[in-house]
Amino acid sequence: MSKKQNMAIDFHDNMILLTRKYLKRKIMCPETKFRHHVKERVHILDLLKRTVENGESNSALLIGPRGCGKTTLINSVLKELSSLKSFKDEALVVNLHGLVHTDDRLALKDTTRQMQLENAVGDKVFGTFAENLSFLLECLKSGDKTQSKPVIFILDEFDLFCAHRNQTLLYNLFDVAQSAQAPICVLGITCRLDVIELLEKRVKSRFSHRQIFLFPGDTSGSDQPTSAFDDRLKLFQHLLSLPDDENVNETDQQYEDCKINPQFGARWNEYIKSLTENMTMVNFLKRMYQLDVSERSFRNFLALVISSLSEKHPKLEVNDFVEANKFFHQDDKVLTLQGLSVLELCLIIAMKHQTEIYDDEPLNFEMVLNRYVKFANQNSSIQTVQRPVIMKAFEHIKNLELIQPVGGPNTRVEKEHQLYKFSLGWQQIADAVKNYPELPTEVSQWAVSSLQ
Amino acid sequence: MKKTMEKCLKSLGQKIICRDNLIKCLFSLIGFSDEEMVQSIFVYGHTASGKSLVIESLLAYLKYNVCIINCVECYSSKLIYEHILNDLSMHEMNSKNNFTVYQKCDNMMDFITYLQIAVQNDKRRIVIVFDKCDRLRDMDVNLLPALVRLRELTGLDLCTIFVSDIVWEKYYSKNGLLNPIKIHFPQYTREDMLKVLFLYKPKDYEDGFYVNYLNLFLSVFLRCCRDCNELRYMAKINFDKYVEPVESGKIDKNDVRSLWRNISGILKSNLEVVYLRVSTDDSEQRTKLCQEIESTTKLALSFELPFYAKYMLIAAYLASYNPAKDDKRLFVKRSSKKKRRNTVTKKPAKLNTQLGPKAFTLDRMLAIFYAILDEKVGLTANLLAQIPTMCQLRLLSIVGDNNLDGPKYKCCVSYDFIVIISKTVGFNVRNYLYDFI
Repeated sequence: MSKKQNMAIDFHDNMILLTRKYLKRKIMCPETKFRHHVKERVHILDLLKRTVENGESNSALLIGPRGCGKTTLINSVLKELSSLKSFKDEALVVNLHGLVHTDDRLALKDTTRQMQLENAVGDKVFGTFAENLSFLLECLKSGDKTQSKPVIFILDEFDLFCAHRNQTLLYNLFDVAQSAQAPICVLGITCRLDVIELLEKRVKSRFSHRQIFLFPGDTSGSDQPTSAFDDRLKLFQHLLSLPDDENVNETDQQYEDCKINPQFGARWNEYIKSLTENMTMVNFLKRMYQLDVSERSFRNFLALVISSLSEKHPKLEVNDFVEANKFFHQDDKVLTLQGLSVLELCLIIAMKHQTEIYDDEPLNFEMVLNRYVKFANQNSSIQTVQRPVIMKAFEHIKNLELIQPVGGPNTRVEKEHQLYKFSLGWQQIADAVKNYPELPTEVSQWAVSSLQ
Repeated sequence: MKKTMEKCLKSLGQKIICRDNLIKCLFSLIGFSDEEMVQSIFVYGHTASGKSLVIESLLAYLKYNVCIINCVECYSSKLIYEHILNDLSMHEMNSKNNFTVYQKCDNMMDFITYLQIAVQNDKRRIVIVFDKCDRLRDMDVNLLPALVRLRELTGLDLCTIFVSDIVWEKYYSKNGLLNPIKIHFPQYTREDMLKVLFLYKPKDYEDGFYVNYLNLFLSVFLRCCRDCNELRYMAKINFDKYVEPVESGKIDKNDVRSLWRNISGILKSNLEVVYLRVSTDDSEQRTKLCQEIESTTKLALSFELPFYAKYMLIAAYLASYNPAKDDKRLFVKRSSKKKRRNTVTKKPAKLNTQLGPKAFTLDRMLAIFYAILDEKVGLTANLLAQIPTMCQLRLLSIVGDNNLDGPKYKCCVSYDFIVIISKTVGFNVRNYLYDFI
């Protein structure tokens, strides 16, 4: 009997770990199933296909705010294409990233590597950028539409490439694309809406001006039009559900190592469904959605929630979601303030009063000290300490960057007189004072009013 | 053997206290070896709140391929790249290979390529920790945004952890960067701090006795300082004083009240030297030394300035802290006193003494010097030679590049200092300071 029970528990424990694993993978690898932006996706797919199959040259820019799934979209398109035979054999994909390829020389070097032209380069030593470029271009131009392999350039963080000297790389890529020398497709990904303005005139004129915009909350792709939040709710349910009897074929080889018991899956899904009908949960998600529409942060949030699952805690509660949300929306500065000593907090309050009285004018150590000493003298219970200790506390606050020096560091001023700008809001200070454990009452009273 | 959270907690719990929740949290993010890791984690909290300790012990326990970088030590992107490559490829710099690095590397692109090659035969997961990561902001612009998404860029099973005591808000840049998952290490509470300090109990004493001591100690120190490192040091040096009467048999060790009376003065005086780390073995000498360092009086008198130099310094101080337009009113005898009141502004103006010294010309200082000095003295080379001397002593400082025609100076001493100096020559500075009249 007891053995059987043990088995059941074991089985259950195991299930939770598998669930964790399955859901985490589902949440954190968004490429597998791309949702929405159907029109844009088809557009890009079509562009790439035309380049590969017909040898057309194209250029396009994919623009949308951070975390809305631009790179994911491209990746899912590439994934779909890579299953086509013609694509696998024919096309070359060159991935460039604005953060990695910080100048054109590096970009060119990596392009050569990714196009596997190192052999062609052989022992040739390129003295200059121009030589290297002309060689590459030669390779690109050598063929005509029918002979040469189509190349797809994907430029992530496209706006950073615009800052390169003379925009040489962009100029040449667009030039090749426009003059249809060899079939290439240039796809830029960026979050800057004004990216076109960054291009030089000669570069701009060679760009096809095909801009594709991605906006979060666009649900035009789904079967029936729904509000943006309902869609978020659907995503929530989708991401947290497990494969069960009905859609067992959904599991593809990616999830092979986590086979979930369909019965357990069905039970789990039932529960998740009940969560989406829970009013507190819905309101909570709504509030989150109002603050942040980006899908990436939502996925990160869910990943955190899933992480809280364990053998001892096998079910997701509303509270888990609230707790996880704290990681994203708590005020870091308030937390930092709560970790300060009473003396340091007193200095912060003194700074607050000083900035209030003098209308946000910068302050220095002497002023803060003066204000603090006045306070300490009026309240006998506050033990006063010597100036060097207060100075040290002040420097600690400075090191935490709660105050910022005004004027460059090269101005030669004694540290007592160096001016600082105070960068905390009164609400933050009030919160910190409220939550500070065992704060003397005089201090909390002082925080509220500068009149004593 | 499978590494579960409970086992990990148990193993780390022997060494680390009061941090169970945080270990759990970190473990659930990166600990399960068959799950995806998160892309990057930002860990922040005050100094000495156990950030590095928890992360390092957790990673050591998990036996990942780990690289821990102190960004103060590796001050440029090149050093960081090479350090990571060395560590992750298990390359060791020694005399045999002439202390060469695994691979020279000075840009992000090469770094990613080399990294992919270096770990291709290593199945372990990779975690890279950047300690004091605030310094990364001062390096290449692309460095921090690229490191935050290093997993995406390399395509490896990798996680970057950033450790700092500054909030993430301060890292935002013009180009934008991804938000990592933020984990806050709260400061130890009073009870936690007591437990932590108790770990460093000297061997020969009873638990209760030491807890009593720590309670007294914290009641004095915790208000000014919550830095665990400093408290640990202070608790150690003050304990010797605390047990002294017990050792000599003057006070019974259970007589808490007498012990408190004995130690409170010492604790309070030592509070003044927190962070200063005056190091002598003899505590008697230390207190004396501390007082000397602290006292402005001792400092002011230690210069033993000549009589005229003292007046010169006072003149410099007055020139620095008084507005030039009021010189006439302040120093010219028989000037009209009525005007004075009319100029007082309504707004609580900031005091000049708080704003810091202003620069003044040599001529102005000499004029004030002669105005405040009662006796006649010639402007000799000896007198003028005091100025460079005082500059060397850092009592004055030269402003701007050495302009021979009209050199400008600033007076660098504090109000307390000048009051002491003026007392020795029987002069009252307050009468001549704009702020006080």
